Amino acid sequence: MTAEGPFGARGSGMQDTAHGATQVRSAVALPWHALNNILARIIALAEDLADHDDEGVSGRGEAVIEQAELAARLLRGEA
Amino acid sequence: MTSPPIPPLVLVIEDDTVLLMAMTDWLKAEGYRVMAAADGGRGLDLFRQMKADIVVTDIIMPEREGIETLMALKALAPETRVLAISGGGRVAAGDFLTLAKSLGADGVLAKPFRREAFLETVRTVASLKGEGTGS
Repeated sequence: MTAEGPFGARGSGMQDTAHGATQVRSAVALPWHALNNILARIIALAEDLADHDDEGVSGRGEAVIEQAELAARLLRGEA
Repeated sequence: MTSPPIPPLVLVIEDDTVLLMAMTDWLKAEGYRVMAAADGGRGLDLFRQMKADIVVTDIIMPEREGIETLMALKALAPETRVLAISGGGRVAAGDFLTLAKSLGADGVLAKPFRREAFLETVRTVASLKGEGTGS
């Protein structure tokens, strides 16, 4: 993984205008966005399991959240 | 005898159905009044009908970008508190969220996030205005 992540280099002029942000999203942000949305969905769904009264189910929910958070850190280059 | 304060009204704008439902459920369970929209255009339509105290908006969406939505919301009602969320990735999300902050977002949160982190950020954004305004 490069410093920019697996989906290529960042666009230029991103901070200049909102229009620039709109333009650069399709090149860089959408794959990241889709992956992070999937991880966010996994965490949101697993929160229900983690809330479960049954400790076994609750523990599995927490384990799923832990794995999704690990994947998110890997995506960000932090793990 | 005073009536209990009206909970803040939160408008959630998110194109991902699972996340939209999760965030609205979490907010309702905390006692907030909630409206939901699947894109920025519909979110702005809802906002014009009933002004929310807090808007939670995704930054990358079809139809209307979250950044454009944020700018439109702040132009319509500068006092409305906006929490920008984004899953653009380490570099892109940071830049989009930094941009959102520079354009007036009162709070930012990168995806993915846990329920408590989300609710804590909403509480922080709400406290900037003071909860229970009932506007």
